[in-house]
Amino acid sequence: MRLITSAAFVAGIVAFAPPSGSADAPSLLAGEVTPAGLAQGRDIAFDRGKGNCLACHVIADGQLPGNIGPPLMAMKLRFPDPDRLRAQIWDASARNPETIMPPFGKHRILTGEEIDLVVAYLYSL
Amino acid sequence: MIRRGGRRGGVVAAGLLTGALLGLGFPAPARADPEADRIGFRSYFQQRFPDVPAEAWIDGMYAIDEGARQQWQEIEDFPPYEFTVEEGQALFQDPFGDGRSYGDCFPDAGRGIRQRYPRFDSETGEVETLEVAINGCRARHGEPALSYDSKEMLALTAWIAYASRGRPMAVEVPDDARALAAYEEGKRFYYTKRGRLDMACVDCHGRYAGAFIRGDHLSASLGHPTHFPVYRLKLGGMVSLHKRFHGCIRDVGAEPFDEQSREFRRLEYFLTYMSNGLEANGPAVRK
Amino acid sequence: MRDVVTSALVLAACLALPVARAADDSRTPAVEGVLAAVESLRAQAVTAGHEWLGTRSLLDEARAAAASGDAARALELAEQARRDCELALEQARREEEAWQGRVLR
Repeated sequence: MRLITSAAFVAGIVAFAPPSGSADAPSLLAGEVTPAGLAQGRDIAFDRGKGNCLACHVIADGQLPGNIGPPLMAMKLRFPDPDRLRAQIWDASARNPETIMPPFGKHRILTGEEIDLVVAYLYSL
Repeated sequence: MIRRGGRRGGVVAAGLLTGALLGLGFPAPARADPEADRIGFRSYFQQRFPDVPAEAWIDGMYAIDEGARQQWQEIEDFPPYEFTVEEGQALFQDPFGDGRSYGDCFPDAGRGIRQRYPRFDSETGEVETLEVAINGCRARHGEPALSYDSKEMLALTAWIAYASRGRPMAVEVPDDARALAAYEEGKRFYYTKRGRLDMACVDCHGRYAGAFIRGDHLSASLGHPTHFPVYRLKLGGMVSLHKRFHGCIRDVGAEPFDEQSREFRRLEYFLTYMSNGLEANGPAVRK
Repeated sequence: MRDVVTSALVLAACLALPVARAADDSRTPAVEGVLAAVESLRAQAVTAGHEWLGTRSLLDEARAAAASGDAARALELAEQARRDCELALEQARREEEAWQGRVLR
């Protein structure tokens, strides 16, 4: 029944509000990102109201980092495929249901575009 | 209520069959076992922190942060909640309009009672916290209820906590289906992921207790309920346990429940039971 | 039963939508119906004990937008609230069993 509800909603509303950022949006490689884009990604990652990555991760020059998750360094080595890194941020619980990491994309904490920028920034580390 | 899954149904069915075969009639279905839970809860922290005795957790993260502990100890030597405690004692003794006072509702002039709360009230079938008991007393003597975050309520609970220091927490879950259900709901609340951040109490204060979130240690749930209300340096005032629950739930992006809501009273019931045996040591200073 | 009613409401609302758009009248049953349906989803999330922070204010804003004649904005906000409610309910369903795997021992 809920499926029908959702379908009806989408049918009715899609014309008014196209959904922003979905799981399968194309990811950006670090090489395609401008310095301004990297700075934006960094801002989103550090912003307490956005990524707030420092709450749990050590990142480069970030102040007062937490240590709940692993340090975010050498990301290209750890995630040779940027889509895997993107998927991890989008919904870490898909691979590990018991993760403490919030599903940033799935639960709409960040938009798809914001996650792309964060991925690009992390890939530069 | 907890929905029984098919698997569990199967186990129950097998149990019934076994019971019937053994001629024992109908065995009770699997039920809450608070004491087994408490032993498991304590042993989890014991395994994670072999050098930290369970008793030490009543001081929260100061159990594991030696540097911060010294600073904190200095504050506790001249505690900022001192006046609140004195105020609470005076309020406790102040006569109501009918000439009676709190002493008519609580035994031993209010001393040494904190460790028994929350308690299960078999008349209402609900969990009664100290705050609810205080307002219940007021109602019986024709006084209006105190708001849960009022200075008066915090002063009263601070004094009662103070006058109960050193008593081992001794919360009881009586053999009453309603009490066990309330306990089980509190337990379920603690372990349930919620909100936009999809986090459970146990994520931060169980599995990751002791880790740093930004610059702060995550404290352990073991020992949490022994020392409330607390004086929070950050806020410059007294804070109840439920106010803390409220803040945590908000922080994970869920709509918080009200102080003294049924949900929070049950959570307190479960959590306090987990700390049974640890000393009551409220009020306390926290960051 | 409530689901059926919700769906019927939403369907009715959606069928009427093109008309609402053309007339650009936010007080048509279409917008009202969508808002009511999302409110009912929110009520389900509350009942499940899983309401997310911010859903109430999204719906309040949506109602305010509808009242001021901005149907498009009202529907956009209602859609955000709807998605959050669906996610909260999905979480609630998952947690009915999942919490038991986290018990400390």
